[in-house]
Formats: sequence, structure tokens, C-alpha cells
Amino acid sequence: MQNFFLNKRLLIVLVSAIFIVVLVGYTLRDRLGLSWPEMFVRDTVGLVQSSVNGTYESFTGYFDRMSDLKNTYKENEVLKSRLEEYVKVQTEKYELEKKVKELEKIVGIKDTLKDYDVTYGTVIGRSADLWYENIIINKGKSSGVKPNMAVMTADGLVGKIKTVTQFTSTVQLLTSNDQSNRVSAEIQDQTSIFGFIQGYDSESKCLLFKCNELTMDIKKGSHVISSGKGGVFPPGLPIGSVKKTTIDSYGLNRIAYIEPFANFYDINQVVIVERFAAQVDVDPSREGDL
Amino acid sequence: MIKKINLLFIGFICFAIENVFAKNIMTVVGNTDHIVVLRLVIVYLIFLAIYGERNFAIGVAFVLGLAFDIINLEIIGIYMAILPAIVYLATKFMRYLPEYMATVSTVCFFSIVLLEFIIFISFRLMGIVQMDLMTFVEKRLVYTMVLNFVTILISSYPFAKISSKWAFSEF
Repeated sequence: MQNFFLNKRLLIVLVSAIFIVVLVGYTLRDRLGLSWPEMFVRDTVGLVQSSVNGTYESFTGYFDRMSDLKNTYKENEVLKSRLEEYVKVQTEKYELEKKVKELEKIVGIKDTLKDYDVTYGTVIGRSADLWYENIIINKGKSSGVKPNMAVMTADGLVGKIKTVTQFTSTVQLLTSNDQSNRVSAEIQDQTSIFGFIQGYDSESKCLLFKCNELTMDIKKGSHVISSGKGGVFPPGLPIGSVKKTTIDSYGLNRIAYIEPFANFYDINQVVIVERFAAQVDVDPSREGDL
Repeated sequence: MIKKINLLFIGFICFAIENVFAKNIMTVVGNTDHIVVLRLVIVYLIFLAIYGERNFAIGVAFVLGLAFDIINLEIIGIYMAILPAIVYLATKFMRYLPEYMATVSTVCFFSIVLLEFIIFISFRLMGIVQMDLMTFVEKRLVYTMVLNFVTILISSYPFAKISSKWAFSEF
């Protein structure tokens, strides 16, 4: 026994093994923020990543533009034919907007849940190990990004801000395996059906929508949007469309498989959405997880 | 001393290439749900340890692993522990083999397989991924190893040259 403790190399290995297990355990749990050395490293690397990605994208963008050029003529024809329609829609929209404003004035509504502000960001990093968990974007505290903001692509909701540093932030994707990662959503039908987006089925590549509604018919192809009732995300952000529905193994919940609008494999440009209406004090069991 | 800093710097360049690859080229390779991972850093580290100085290589492995954990995973201690351990194991193993480029490359190749498996198992235990072993082999390991085989072929000679030239020089 005496000999065992005198073996210096073994002792070092043991101590460092314990140290690493403690370190992993400490950083694995849900942390509220990053420590300042981590932030420093991430910000420095983030700047390099942004510039490298910029050069890379301008390089590949050149070839993309070349191939775009080929399709320009065809596209132009189609778009021209739709131009008349556009003018009509534009005037209609203008009228409706005016009407809404007037009505709001009469009723005295100052702000609705729907008001939100957007910031645009670029994806600068994505680890192959956590491909369906996290992405890193080039906007941070300095651009007003805070944890738990919704993140979208042009097509639909992709996730929410997990941690922020001064110039970068990490986005937790909807496809992430984290159980506490959920979004309150609604299926748009004649009457809305409310529930949670919770979990991802990697086989069918669908998000899982859980609700208590057992009797009502959920139509295939109905759109799913965020409902805003979770207190974190603004309502009306598009998420996906219904592919199929099942009842869960206990027969208590309805599960709808939602095909997401956004392409989770290839995310490059994102929109960060800030909700204007007051956020509810979030406890861990609700939307978001902070 | 300056040469040592150069070696560390090359390590960081490999690290940067790995990261840029992970974000950009992977989507070009195929828009499927396969995951292809470039492992340039571990190749460099093993060549540095065998043709250069072992303890210095383990130190570099520690620093790069820590950087990788902070930047990509937000869980500190995974690559930080695994990279030095694999470098150490590879050098121990090389004692029983002749020091040819081909044998070192083979050891490198199997080190990457080992790395992939350890990463998979630790992530599985922590509940971050829920892939089963067969999907992991089909969708990730096979493609990753094909890519890294090519990577080792291309990078082995320059890495060996750099390591043996710079690690032992005094200035």
C-alpha cells in the first residue's frame, strides 16, 4: 500500500482523472453563463472564424453566382408575369396595414405579443460532433443578443440562443436532444390546436409536436407556427407542416410529426428575433430552459 | 524556442482547417445526414510525438484539446483529456514497431478510429447523442475514415519533415 501511493506517475494519472471528471461534470450541467476565460477565447477565435468564413464564402459565392447567371433569363420571365400580382398585393397590404393601425388606435392597443425586433447573423462555426445540437453565430452581447431569443432562417424557426459572449453566441437547435428544449406551438387549422414542440425524430427527420387534443382531426400539411404562449418566443414564427400523427404509448397525448420548413443540415444566415412584449419569468419546466 | 512556437502555431493552423472544414465543406460533400469529420490535429500530434519530442506533443495536445472544448463543445475536459492520452498511447505502441512512415501512418489511422469511438461512447454516456452503434458506424465512422485515410496520405510527409526538423533544433 505504501508503495502504491509512492508511485508518482500513477498518482498523477489518478488525480488528473478525478480532476477531469469533475470538470466535465461541472461544465456539462446547464450553466447560466460562460466564465470570462471561455468568453475571451471564444471571442478571439470568433473574430478569426468570421474573417475566414467571409473569404471562403466570397470564394464559393463566385461559383454560385456563375451558375445563377444561367438561370437568370428564365427566372426573369416568370417574375415579370407575377409583377402585376405583386402591385395588387402591395396596395392591399398597405390598405390593410392602415386599417389595422386605425383600429388599434380606436381600441387602444399599445403593443401586442406579435411585436418583435430582428438582428441578422451569420453562422461562423458548427462542430461535427454536435452537428444537430449547436451552431455558433457572429452576433453577441454587443449586438443586443440575449439568451433565450428565438433564432430563424428565412424558412422557419431553427432554435434559440443558449449562451452569449461579447461578439459570438451559441444557438441550441430544435433538433437537439435536450429534453428541456421546447417551444410552445400551434397547428393552424379551422380551430388552432395548441401544444409543444418537444424532441426530434432523426429517422423521419421530423420534429415532434405533443398536445392533449385526442379527438380533433389534424390535417396533413397544416402549418405549425410558434404560439407565443410559452412566454419566450414571439408568436407567428413558422416552424413546419404536419406529416403524420400518432397517439403516444400511454394513449394520453397526441404526437404530430412536423416536417420543419428550415433545412437543419445547411444553415448559413440566421435571423435573431427579440420579443418586445414582456417576457414571463421562465422556470425550467417551461419554454426555453434558462 | 522559436521553432517550438512555430510547431504550436502549425497545430493551431491544423485546428483552424479542421473547424472551417466542419462548417463549410461538409455541406458540400453531400446534403445527406452523413457526418464526415476531418481529424487533422491528431494526425499532426502523433507525427510530432514520434518524429519530434513526445512531451512537447502532449503539451500541444492539451492546449489544442482545451481550445476545442471551449470553442465547439462548451463542455471542458473531453478533448483536453482524450487527445494527450491518445498521443501517449500511440508513442507507447510505436516502441514495438519500426519507425517507418507506413507504420506511423497506420498507427495514426487506428488512433483516429479509437478517438472516434471514445468520443462516441462518452457522448452517448452523457446523453448528448442517442445514435446506436450501427448508425454511428454506417453514417459517421466509414466516411470519416475514408476521408482521414486520404488526409494521412497527403499530410504525413510534410508533418514528419517539420517535426523532425524543428523539434530538436535549439533556436
